Amino acid sequence: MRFIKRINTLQKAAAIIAILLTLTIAACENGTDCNINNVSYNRIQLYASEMQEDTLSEKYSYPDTLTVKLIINGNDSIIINSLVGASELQLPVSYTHDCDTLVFEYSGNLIDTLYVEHSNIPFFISTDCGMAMYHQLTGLRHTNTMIDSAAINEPLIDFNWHENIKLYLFE
Amino acid sequence: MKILNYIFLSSLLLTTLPLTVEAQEKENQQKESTFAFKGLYLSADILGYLGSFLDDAKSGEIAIEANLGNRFFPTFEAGYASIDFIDENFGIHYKSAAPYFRAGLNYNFSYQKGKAPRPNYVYGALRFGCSKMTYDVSSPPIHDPVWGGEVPFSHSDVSGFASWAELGVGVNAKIWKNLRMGWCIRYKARLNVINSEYTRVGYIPGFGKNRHTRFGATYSIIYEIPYKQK
Repeated sequence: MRFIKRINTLQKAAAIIAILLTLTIAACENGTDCNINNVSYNRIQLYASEMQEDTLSEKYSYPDTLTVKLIINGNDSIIINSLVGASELQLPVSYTHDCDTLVFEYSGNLIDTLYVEHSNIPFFISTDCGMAMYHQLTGLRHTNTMIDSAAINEPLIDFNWHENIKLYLFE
Repeated sequence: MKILNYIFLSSLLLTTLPLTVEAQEKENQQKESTFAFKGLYLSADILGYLGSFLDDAKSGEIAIEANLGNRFFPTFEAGYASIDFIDENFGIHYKSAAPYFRAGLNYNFSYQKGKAPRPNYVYGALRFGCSKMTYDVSSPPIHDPVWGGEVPFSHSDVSGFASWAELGVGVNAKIWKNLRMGWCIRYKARLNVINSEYTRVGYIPGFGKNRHTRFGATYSIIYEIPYKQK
């Protein structure tokens, strides 16, 4: 009887150790989830201007070619080149400026300019993952060649997937 | 017939009543002994100090544990941990020092009802811990890969808070007279952490690096304060 009770005690301890070992493996796997290059992107979702609130979940693709340029220190720099069927754009945001100028070139030499106003948030992630720069969108201005309207959907630009800007284009 | 029934019921009552009272007294005694105060353990963790030779964090921890019926051991632990760390990859300097507290229960797996308590026993541990800390963090300037330019980063006296739960298994062994030693391996799961606008908490005193889960251990020198029942 005493032997059986001792076995029970050992079984309880063994069970706890087994649980802890399992959790150890889980703990090892659940280390750090670092982003590859620690760059957060402004995600712009394109919509047709006549899309209604209830059809916004339907995916829209811009039918022609689209080129996007960033104005960097007075010079333009192509960030997206002649993309066909664009529906979502991921664009970098400047770390030191509070307004970025994006030039949209459509087929037929049509051009729009989108001004993205934002604040910059230098952020310490961890000693394993390092630093990142997040941004907070504060305003949008644009020309109206093809852009009907633009709206901030999620102001925070970080590593999480957000639809930051809704951009409505004339069809 | 009525008389026979009366005699039967009376005899039944007379025989069962003492038994019921006896059983209740026995149960009360058992209940009393299950949670009866048997003494106090005072302990100090030495692994936190020894661990400072392995990484950049060091800690000191003391604990008080009540022995209830040699089976349940409500425990309160208080410690102080510090870290002064410069990351080799990113050049980030992180510095923090703060107290932490844990409360919980140890359960003696070696306990056997009605048997004399064993001097050495295996136990399971459950804890809830928390720490309110301040820290300094600075890094080399952050370089903009597209526009160019750099942004400096340095924050001091940033406040943070974290809470966590621990599940563990340990051994408590008698060494000499009232002196005991013990170790405990613990799996820690972070419950809550409050970061600031510009930083995440990098190191949680009593928990370790700020991750979802951690593994930890203690190795303690324990002094047993005996309690003599009157």
